[in-house]
Amino acid sequence: MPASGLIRLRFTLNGEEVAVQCQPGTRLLELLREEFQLHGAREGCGRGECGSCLVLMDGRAVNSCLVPAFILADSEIVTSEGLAQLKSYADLRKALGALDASGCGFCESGLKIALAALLLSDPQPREEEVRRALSGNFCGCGLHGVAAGREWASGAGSDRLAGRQGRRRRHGRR
Amino acid sequence: MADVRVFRPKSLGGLLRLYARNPDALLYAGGTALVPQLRGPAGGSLELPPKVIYLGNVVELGRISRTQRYLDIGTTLSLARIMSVGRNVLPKVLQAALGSVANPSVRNLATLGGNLCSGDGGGDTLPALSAVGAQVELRSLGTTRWLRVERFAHPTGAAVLRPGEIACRVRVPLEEWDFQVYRKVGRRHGSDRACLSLAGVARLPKGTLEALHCSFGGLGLGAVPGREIEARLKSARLPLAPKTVDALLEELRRLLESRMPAAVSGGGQYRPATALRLFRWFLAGLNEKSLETL
Repeated sequence: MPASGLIRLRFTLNGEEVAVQCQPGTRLLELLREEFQLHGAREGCGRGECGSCLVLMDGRAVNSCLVPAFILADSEIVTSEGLAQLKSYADLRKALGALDASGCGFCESGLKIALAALLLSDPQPREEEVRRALSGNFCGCGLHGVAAGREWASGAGSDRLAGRQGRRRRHGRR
Repeated sequence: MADVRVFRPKSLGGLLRLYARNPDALLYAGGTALVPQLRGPAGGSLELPPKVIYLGNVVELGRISRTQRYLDIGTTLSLARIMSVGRNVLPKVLQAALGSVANPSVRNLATLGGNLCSGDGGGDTLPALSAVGAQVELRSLGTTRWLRVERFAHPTGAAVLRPGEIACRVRVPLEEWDFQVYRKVGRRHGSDRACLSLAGVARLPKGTLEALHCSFGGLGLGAVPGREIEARLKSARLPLAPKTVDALLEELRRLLESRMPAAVSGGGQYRPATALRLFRWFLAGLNEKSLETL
């Protein structure tokens, strides 16, 4: 029996079933950071505008700062720490790693989640779709990740990527 | 913090009975507009009222169905889901309006009902739904009524729901339109909703104006200015002469001056001037389209 005012929840977090007792008004972001010590999702604007708190909820990217605990029952949550379990993880790593898609790191987790959600729904997205998927991610240190992600899409996938890396290597040797 | 009781009804009947017994309960669906409001001044956890009814498990409110003439959209369907399921069916003007709301992750949570209940301030889906003649089904224990969306979403943001009444679905007529446009200017930033929008649809067989609806969002006037100017537009010949365009703009300017609530305009010229620019853009598009269909 939960203590007065608390609710007991069961949901799946990064592939494992978890149970927690909390106030109904506790937000998912607070649960992740304080109860489960998962610090990938961060509080930015607290209004769903910056994307730094994104997680996957039942396969869709959502702002964990806008999700109260009482709607979590039986849902499946994946944070940036749990992305390795996804089938599309290899593509995601390629998209992020090959393009240096990170800046100061604050927005990186949200960016990964937004791209992961996109790759789950469409393994070969077009530029327009990448732009749309990343339109809720704000990068305060110069849009490194967002610009890189967009470039990845505009480069029509891995072929173009290979070309870019080749050019980079050549520049590096000069 | 006081104890909070969260109810999770699974059927519409159960929800209506529960809400009749607990009319003071907070109805919660997507929460994207509510959560920032429910957080205390210091941020952190939500300050929930003693009773909360979560609508997300009510099967009937999460349905989308199509007949030959209508698309019925449950009010707890997320905007992203509506865009995805209705991709080939939704009027383009509504698809554009849905896509203009916030960003993809917010659209995964935000619901159509929530968007309508947050009123005209954001200028999101209301003008598009109004332009295509959508209606909202309101149900309470033992009663059902339908309202046009512009009557449902009160200009100042307060919905016209009676005690115990719940917005259950939105009925969108599936009509053919030759010309469909939606444009939103500005973005919401927290409680500051500095956006304006215009949605318009028209049927132009052989360059003549057979039917036209246009609605503004974010002016605090609901769809009124659009509807009033429609009558004038319908009698005009297409393509509109520059003189006619100027006269229509002048009419809108007078209307906004006399009827736009000061609380919305803030006494400034930004909103009226932007509304006039949007309307000029709409008329130019209408002219262009009329020439195409000749």
